Order: sequence, then C-alpha cells, then structure tokens
Amino acid sequence: MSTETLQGALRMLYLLDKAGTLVAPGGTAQPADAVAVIDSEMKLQALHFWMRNPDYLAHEILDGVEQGILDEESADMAEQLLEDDEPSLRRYPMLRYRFGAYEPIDDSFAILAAPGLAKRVRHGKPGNVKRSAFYLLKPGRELAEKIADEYPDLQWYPDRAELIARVSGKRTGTELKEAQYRLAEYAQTALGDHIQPIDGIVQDKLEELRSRT
Amino acid sequence: MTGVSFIDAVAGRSGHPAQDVADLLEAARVPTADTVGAPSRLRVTRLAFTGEKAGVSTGAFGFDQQFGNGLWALTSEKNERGKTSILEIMMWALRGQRKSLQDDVRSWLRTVALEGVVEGEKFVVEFELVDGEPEGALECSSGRHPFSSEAAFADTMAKFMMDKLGFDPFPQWVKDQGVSTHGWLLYSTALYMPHGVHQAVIGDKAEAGLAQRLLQLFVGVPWTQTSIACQAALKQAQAAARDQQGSRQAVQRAVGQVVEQRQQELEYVRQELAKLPEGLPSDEQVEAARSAWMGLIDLHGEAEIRQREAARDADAARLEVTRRRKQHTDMAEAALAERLFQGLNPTSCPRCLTPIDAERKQAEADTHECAVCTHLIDLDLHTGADAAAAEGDKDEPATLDGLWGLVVSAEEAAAAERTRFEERREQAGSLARELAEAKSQVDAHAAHTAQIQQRRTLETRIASLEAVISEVGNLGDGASALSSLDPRLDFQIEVLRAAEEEAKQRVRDESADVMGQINRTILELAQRFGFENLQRVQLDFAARLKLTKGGIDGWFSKQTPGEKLRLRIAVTIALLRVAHQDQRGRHPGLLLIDSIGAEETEPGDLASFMRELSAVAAETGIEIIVASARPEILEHVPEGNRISAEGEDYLW
Repeated sequence: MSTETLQGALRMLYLLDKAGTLVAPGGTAQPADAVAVIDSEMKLQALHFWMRNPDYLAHEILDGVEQGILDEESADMAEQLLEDDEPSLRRYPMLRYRFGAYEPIDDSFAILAAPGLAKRVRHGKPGNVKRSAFYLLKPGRELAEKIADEYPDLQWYPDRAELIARVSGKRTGTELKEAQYRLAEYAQTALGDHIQPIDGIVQDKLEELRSRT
Repeated sequence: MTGVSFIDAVAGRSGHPAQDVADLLEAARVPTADTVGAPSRLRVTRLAFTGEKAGVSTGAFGFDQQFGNGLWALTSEKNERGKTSILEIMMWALRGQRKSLQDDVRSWLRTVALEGVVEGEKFVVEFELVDGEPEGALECSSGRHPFSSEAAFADTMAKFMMDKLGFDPFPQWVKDQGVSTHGWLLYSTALYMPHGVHQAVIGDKAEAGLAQRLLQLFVGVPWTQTSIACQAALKQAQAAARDQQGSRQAVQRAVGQVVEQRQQELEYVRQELAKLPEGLPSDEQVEAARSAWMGLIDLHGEAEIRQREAARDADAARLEVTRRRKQHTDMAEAALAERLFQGLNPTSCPRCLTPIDAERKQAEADTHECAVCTHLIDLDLHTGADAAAAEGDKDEPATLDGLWGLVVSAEEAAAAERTRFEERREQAGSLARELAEAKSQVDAHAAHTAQIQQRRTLETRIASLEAVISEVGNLGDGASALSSLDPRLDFQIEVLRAAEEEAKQRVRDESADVMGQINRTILELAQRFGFENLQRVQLDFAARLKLTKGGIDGWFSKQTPGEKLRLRIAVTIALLRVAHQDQRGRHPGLLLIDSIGAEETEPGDLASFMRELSAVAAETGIEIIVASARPEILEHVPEGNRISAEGEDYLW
C-alpha cells in the first residue's frame, strides 16, 4: 500500500484520538468499545484537510486570534507552521470536491478498521448513504497512546492532531467547511485542481496581526 | 612770357616730378597751355518776330530788321514802345533763355527768327511759341538742331556758342554745393547792358568772381582759365582732405571708445572670475567622476543580477532539500506505520464489519491467505519497496538510506548555493558602497555645476575680450599711423597749390601792363562822359573799380546810378578798344545797350557816349545796338542804322 494511504491512516487515527468527541459506553447504535466519535464525514474531511495543509491551518489560527477565540500565543504557533519549510514538508495536496476538501479516505480508514481500531457506521443503504459516523474503539486509543510513547519519530501526528482539535473546537463539519471556503485561494481553486498553497497570504496576515499588537 | 613751360614751373614749385604733375593737371582738367586767340566775332544780321497783341491794345504785329556791324539805334519818342522788347527778344534768341522779357509781350509772340554770323559761319535760330514754350530749331553748318522746350533751347544755344566762340566753362566752387559750372548764360551777360542794372562793373552780378571772370575774358589775359581751374581743383582737394581728416578722426575716436569699453568690461569680468571659490574641480575631474560613476552603475547592476540568480539557485536548492527530506520522512513514516498496522490482526472485515473468526486467522498463518480477503500475502511487499514505487520515481533510490543520502547531498548543494549567494551579495554590497561614493562625488561636483559653468563662461568672455581689444587696438594704431593725409591727397594739394600760384603769377605778370592801359583809357572816356573830378581810375582783376575824385578815393558801388552808368560804358568801351589794339580779349563784339539816356544823363554826356560808341564801332568793327527814348542819339548813328518810331508809334 502507498505511503499516502499509510500516512493517512496515522493521520486519521490521531484525529479520532484527539478531536473525536468522547462517547459514553453503552450508547445505542454505537459500537461496543467506542470511546470517541467524529460524527460526520464532512467534519473528518475538514479536519483531515487541515492536517494536510498547514498554511490553511495557520490562517485559521490567526483568524481565531483575531476573533479572540484563541489566545495570542497561538499566533506564535501559526508562525511556526510557516517556518522551517513546514508547509512544504507537511503539505499533502488534496483534491477539491464539491463537498469540500475531499480525499478518498476509505483505504486509510480500512487500515484502522480491519484490526478493530476504529469503525465507520453508515446510516442508510449501500449506494445511498445519508451520513457516516467514525468511531474510535478502545484498541485504537491504546495503540495511539503506545505509538505516542514509543515512537518519537511519529510525534508530529499526535501533536498536530491536538492542535487541530483545539482550533476546530466544537464546530460542526459544515461550519468547518465554510471556514475553509472563506479563504479566497481555496474558493478560487477550480474544481478538480489541487488546492493552492497560501503561505504568502498567511505571512502577510501574520505581519499585520503582529503589527497591531 | 617766361621760357619755362607751365608744367615744369609747377614741378619746380611743388618739388614733384613733371610727369606726375602733368598727369594730375590733366586729370583735374587744368589747362596747361594758354593761347590767346584773335577776338571772336558774333554778329546779328537779322531779327524778325510776329505776334498778336491782347489786352489794352490788340492786333497782329510784326518786326523784321536787318542788322550788321557798326552802331545801331532803336528809338521812340515815348516810353514803352517796344525797344527793350526787341533787345530782350534778341537776347532770348541768342541764349535760348529769356532774360527779362515782359510776360505780356512773351504771351503775344508767335514766331521769332534771328539770323547771325559767328566766327564767319552763318546760323539761323527760328522758333514758334507753343503753349508758352519755344519750339523750333537752330540751323548751322553742322545741321539742324531742334528743340521744343526752353531748357532744350538754352542747351542748344549754349553748346553752339561756347563751341564757336571758343569759350571754356567757368567752374566755380560754391561752399556746400561743390563745383557749379557757368557757361554761355554767364558770358552772354557781357553782351547786354539792360536798363537800371548797375551792380557790377561788368555783367549784372557782382558776386563771387563772376565779374572778374568776365573782365578776364574781355581783357584776355592768358592763364586766367588755368588759374581759375587750379583754384577750383585745389578747393575741391582741400575739401576732400578735410573730409578724410574728419572721418579718420572719427574712426580713431570710435576705436578709442570701443577699446575703453572693452577694457572696462574685461576688468569687471576678471573681478567676477576672482570671486569664484578656489578649488573648483576642473572639467576633466568632473568628467572622470561621472564616467567612473556610470561604470560602477553597470558593474553594480551586473553584480545585483548575479546575486539574484544566486538567490534563486539557493532557493531552488533549499526546496530540493525539503523535497528530499519529505521523500525520506514520508517513506520512513510509512514504513513505521506499515509495521505497526500490519502487525495487528484483523478483527473484522472493514467493509461489512463481519468479525473474522479464529479459523480464518489460523488459515492465514498456515497458508498465508489473507484473513480478510483470502489473497496470498506477499511478504516482500511489506519491505517498503511499495513506498518507493508509490513515489513514482523509478530512478530514485528505493531505500531510506538512499533517500537520506539524497537529503544529505541536497543539503550540501544547498549550502554551496548559499555560500555562493552570500559571496555574490557581498560583492554587490561592496559595489553598492563604491557606487554610493562615486555618486556622492558626482553630486558634490553637481553642486558646483553652476560655478563651473560660470567659470567657463567668464574664461571664454575674457579670451574674447582680449582678442577684440588687441584687434581693435591694431586698427586704431593703423588709423593713427595715417595721421598725415592720404598721400595722394597730399600730393594733389601740393601740386595744385603750386599750380595755382604759378598761374596767378603768370596772370599777374601778363596783366599788369594791360590793366594800366585799360585804366588810362577808362579815365579818359569817363571824363569825356562828363564824369567830373575824376582823377584816377583803378580797375583791378577782381573787377573792383577804385576811383579817385576830388582827391578822395571811392568805390564803384558807392557811385550814383548815373555815374555808374558812365563808368560801365567807359569800362566796356575801354576793354573793347584795348583788346582790339592788342589783338587780345575774347569779347564777341556784340553789344546791346538799353535806355542809354535814362539815367540823369546830361544831353552833352549823352552825345559824348554816342560819339565814343560810334568811334569804337568804327575802329573795331563791332556791332553796337543802342536803345533809347531820346531820339537825339540818332544823329550819331548812320542813316541806315536808324530804327525809330515817331510820335505815338510803336516800333512793332
């Protein structure tokens, strides 16, 4: 399997781990050992988008600082995202799709689903899926914690997922999607093109913010 | 008569070579030889005219009379009977120009004809009056000479008479007018003594040498023409010299002014130059600084371009490093993830969520069939070869170490590029500093631009002024070197002065005797004419008549009209007589005297006049026509020569 898929599996594992909403055990229509959930594919996609496009994430952070949602120290975080070639190093261009920053996730999720780390629950029939919920199962959380402890080379994943969880807050997938759309570059990318990097815009925004404080 | 020729004499006096003298005198039209010919002769043989009276009395009139040598008389018992008109018409015909013909008579005239003889040659003058202008012709041996205006008529007669009688035009120098030339109109005044005209001893004008000239003509003293011509030429040359001197002085003044003005300006400009600050850069320095600056602009520009190129290369190298690192990171992470995930046992089908039972799991361990999809598991696939293949770069290394090697070499390359970039930046920087210095130098010069410009302007002006002063100064020197007159004029004046003196000398020498004789004759005649108490008469060549009567000296002009008349007639007769005796003098031998008895002339005096006139006419063969209102003169006149009107009659 491709590097892409494998890394995608790591990304998704930690997104579920850090950004998933805690579930109480024993709820109906949820898997038995579910510990957290991301309750829509759109949300998962949006979070995944940020994980693959650090410059958009940085922009979102600065917006949050501007609106007072995030503290000013987060601006430093945004700066770091731009430094040291971070965007280039950690940018994984995604296809734009009319439902938002969309990338097929099935293969990556399958890697988590097969060993029982996570589970996707579809509502509706095959061919006419209405919505999906993505559950993190207990083994998944355990593996996530283990990797975090024992594999410092992979530290980037839990750290980034944590940041994204903080940035996204309690917003729904739709809200997140809209936030991402609001970025002009994002919106201007023609259907089917890869979403363009926006470090220039973010740099300017950072400078402007800095100069105001 | 001295034995030396005039030219040689003048050459001796002036100290100039004879040939040069001869050339000059010829050019100045000074006669250098003088001959006194036999007296010339002019006679009127017939006068005829017709007309139509108008006004108080009317009617056609006519006159036709023969004349000739000897004494003739025109008389009438009353005045205003046409005597004067006859003489006037005669003069008109001889001169071509009216003298004092009354206007009314002139307007009455229709035709005039005069026949005469000059120097033995017959001539006829005929004309009609057309609109007051004479239209006619002179016929003589040389042909017919027509005229249709008074001016042309006068011109025709003048040419004819002057030529035939051998008279030379008399040049007279008039101040501010130059030379005016007198001819027949002047000479003919010697022929006619009109009534009441007594200003001059001879002729009718006492002015400026005219009477002198007539006198000289009658007396026929040689060298008079030469003397007159010398005087005129000398005066002309002197005037030219004065002009030249004047203009030369004017030039010197102008030159002096120019030089002074330029000197002043030069002084001023030098002061202005001195005011400029010291240490202004020279033109060469300014130019050098400028071209250094321009050169540095180029160098710096090129260095900046190279710097930018190096920056781009460094950026590209850095991106390459990132790319390689990403490759490496991705591969490393994927390898880890694979190990981690593949190490887990599948628990359910990811698609349908059906749990995978123990049987399937066991089968996988035994037969390597995938517990999920039953495909044979290819263990080799899990070594990371996939990861490399997934990259899509078949030429790239497939191992982490290989990729790391690329990262390292990319980093080395990036470092090299960075170093190169920094070198280039250093170069560009140092050139930028040099450029800035060069520019500030140029700017410093620019601050002086205005002064440098001014220095150049002033220096140029100084050079130009010095040149002008030098040149103009030379001119001035040249002009003052000509402080003496134009040597040509110098020469002319010297020679003409000498010529004038020589001519005058000769005139004096020749004339002294003659004048003595004339004066004695005048005295005799005047006494006979009843001029009492006249003891001495001294007529000089200036035509001034001094007389001594009763022991007291007096001048002609102070005499009474009657006395003047006597003197004039005495002088004329004396001149004619003496000239005839000595075979000299050029009076044409025609004399017209009007109103001889008009002045308070005693009958005895009148008779005396007539006797003398008759005597001189007989002696000399001249023609004298006398007009008088006193018929008693007729007895002195031969019968055939009497033209008279009796009682109330007119002469025509």
